[in-house]
Amino acid sequence: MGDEGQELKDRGIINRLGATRYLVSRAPQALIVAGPGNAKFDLAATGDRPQHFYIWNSLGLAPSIGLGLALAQPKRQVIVLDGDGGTLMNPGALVTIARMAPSNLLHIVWDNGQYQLTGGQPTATATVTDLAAMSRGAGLEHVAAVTTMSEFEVGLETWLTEPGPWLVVAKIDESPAPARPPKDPVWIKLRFMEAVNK
Amino acid sequence: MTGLRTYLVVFIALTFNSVFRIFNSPKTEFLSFSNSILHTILARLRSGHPMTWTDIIFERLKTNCLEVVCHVPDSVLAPLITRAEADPFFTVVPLTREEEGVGVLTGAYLGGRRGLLMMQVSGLGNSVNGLASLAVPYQIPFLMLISQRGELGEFNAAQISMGRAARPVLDALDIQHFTLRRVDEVAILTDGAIKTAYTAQRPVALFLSTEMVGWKKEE
Repeated sequence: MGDEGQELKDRGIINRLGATRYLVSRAPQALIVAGPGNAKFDLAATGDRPQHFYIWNSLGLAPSIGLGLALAQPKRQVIVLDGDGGTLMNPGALVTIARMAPSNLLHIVWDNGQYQLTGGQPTATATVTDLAAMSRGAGLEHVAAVTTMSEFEVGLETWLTEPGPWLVVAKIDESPAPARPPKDPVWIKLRFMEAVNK
Repeated sequence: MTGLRTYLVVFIALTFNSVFRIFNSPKTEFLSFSNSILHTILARLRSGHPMTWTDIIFERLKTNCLEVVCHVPDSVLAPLITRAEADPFFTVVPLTREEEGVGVLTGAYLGGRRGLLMMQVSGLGNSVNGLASLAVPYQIPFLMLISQRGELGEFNAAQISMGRAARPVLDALDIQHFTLRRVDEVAILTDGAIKTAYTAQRPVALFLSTEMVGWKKEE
């Protein structure tokens, strides 16, 4: 990483782990659903908690899970953390969320323009596709696109207080995520359901 | 004595529940609770029509508290979808693709609410990885209500393969399935399938056979 990492930091480009850490500190009571890949690894790196639902496969279903959870628990803040790969796998989820429009849902797409875990193959967001525009086209009214950490920090205050559903596309750097969450799906499910009931 | 006390507690709880719901939202809850069941039965008796499979499944869904209704529209399931949309008891989620429903029902179940996924059998093909990689490993139960294509009376060659592959696919995923062939068995099979799903913490599928619901005409 070295000089390149420092250069990215100087330009204010968002680091996914730093942004996740900041998010967790600003929304400690939120129920967080993290999609397959580095979104969930960085969530685990902030400190594993029962209210993290880590998805180990089913790429594309993170926002759908978040929608179901938001509908079932309208008084709780529900946050979905996913990558651009996951959003591109199931763009219809944006439509369904726009139709149901739960105000307590915040969906953050960490966009690094690649499938990082499989070797960094570029996704369409690296070249031709604009996820924020797709979201607005899908019918989502509260859409934000941020490229620096200060934009993220300022925006977060709005996304956590103004009724949603919110869709945030955050351009991030290429830092990998070394942390690993628990692997047992049933354990993840049961303790999450307990956390919901607290 | 213990038995009597239990019945008394349950009776009071149910009464309180009904009264609470009626006072909470008088018009809709009254219509929803009282009218729905009695109205249907009385209307059927008056008109001379027996309860349809749609009526029966609708009541079973309410009795078993399957509130979240995910669907991609289908002509066989359309009357059931319409009734659910008209009843505030249900949260109806129209999907762009059936696999989304596996995710939505997972999130709903995590949040403490039960539901079902309604689709034509072609939609089962669209749901396979969601079932295999989310519902099964995370042990998420829900009912799948699937209208059959590709069996009796099929005019569309493109429907046949998935219609025939549906049961082997579910078998491969170790997801139990039952087939509704006669109206007089709908109540018991629906109740039983729902019960098993929540015991097994796994989806269970109910197929609506073409012999029971008829088949789509070419026009």
